[in-house]
Amino acid sequence: MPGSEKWLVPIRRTADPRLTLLCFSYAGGSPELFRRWPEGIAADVDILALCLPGHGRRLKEELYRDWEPLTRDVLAAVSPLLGLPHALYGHSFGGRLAYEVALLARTAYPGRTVGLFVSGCRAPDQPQARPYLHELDEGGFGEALGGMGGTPAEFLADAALRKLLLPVIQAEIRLAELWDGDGRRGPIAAPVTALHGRDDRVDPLPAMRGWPGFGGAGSELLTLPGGHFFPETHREPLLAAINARLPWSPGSDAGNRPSRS
Amino acid sequence: MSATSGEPAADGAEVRQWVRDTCRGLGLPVEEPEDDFFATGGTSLTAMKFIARVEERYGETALAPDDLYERSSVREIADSIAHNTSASRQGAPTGT
Repeated sequence: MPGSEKWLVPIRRTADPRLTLLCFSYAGGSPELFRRWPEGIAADVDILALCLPGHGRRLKEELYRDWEPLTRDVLAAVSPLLGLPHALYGHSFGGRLAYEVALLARTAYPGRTVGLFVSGCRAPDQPQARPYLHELDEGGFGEALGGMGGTPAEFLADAALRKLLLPVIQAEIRLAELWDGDGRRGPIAAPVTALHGRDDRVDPLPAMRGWPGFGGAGSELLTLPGGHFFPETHREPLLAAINARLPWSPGSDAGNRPSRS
Repeated sequence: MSATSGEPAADGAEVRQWVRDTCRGLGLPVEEPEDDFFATGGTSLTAMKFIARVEERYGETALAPDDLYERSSVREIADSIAHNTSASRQGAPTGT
């Protein structure tokens, strides 16, 4: 199959989209997270989800171990979209990846990124909390995942499912934990909207407070109900916040959005 | 482990029955051989659960994820499993 196809899962395609919303799931998460997003995002916005090795039909593909090849390959795979008006959304590990793509798009496709949305993700200038989860042994790691709440208990309890899923989650959490946001590379031109889950103990408010400094005019930090996995548990307020901030005329400039106080 | 002495022979009709039963156990209302894994509600999570069950019963190489996504009726899934397990049991190269 052609290069880009396996990387992108169409959630909703429209005939004449005003922009594309490209979505990045959390460590171990899948494009499934976005299945119901058409219910809360304006009908003239295309929605696509990135599918990395270890997920969906790519379940058995070799996993990425380093950020540089990962971001390079993702950029190549999504480049057909980046030449058109687009917004990026990512949660946790996916938030880091969305920011990396926005940085690369700043140079390669200037002005085409109209918004970056990050949730449950530390700001680029914030250090990773310790101890690292990815250094735990398998038992401790599984227990930590159970405590975080993003992995269905039925997956952790089933030996065959653990064997398929745990290496993928572990590899992506490792990348997320080792991510060096290097604050000197920002900001991007587009507004950054950082979305913080009120009860998130993985990425609490102080870890996210710096995000507005990494975007253009209109950048902001919002607190929404829920814990670290609030995109799973509190989807509607998240979609309302994103939808209200997608620009209506992405062809002009990123500041051309409905005014808010 | 590859499909060897421990695993059952992958007889076509039996595999089809097993695929149907396993899909139904995962909540997919498949009845006929042409009923489709994804059209009846299968998601990527259901697919992962299904592949885990296939690996337990028929071995790790019995069903490539790509095959499940590309050819996803009960009949096609059973054909993929039967093909892959008979190839590995006979030590034959894959392909026809």
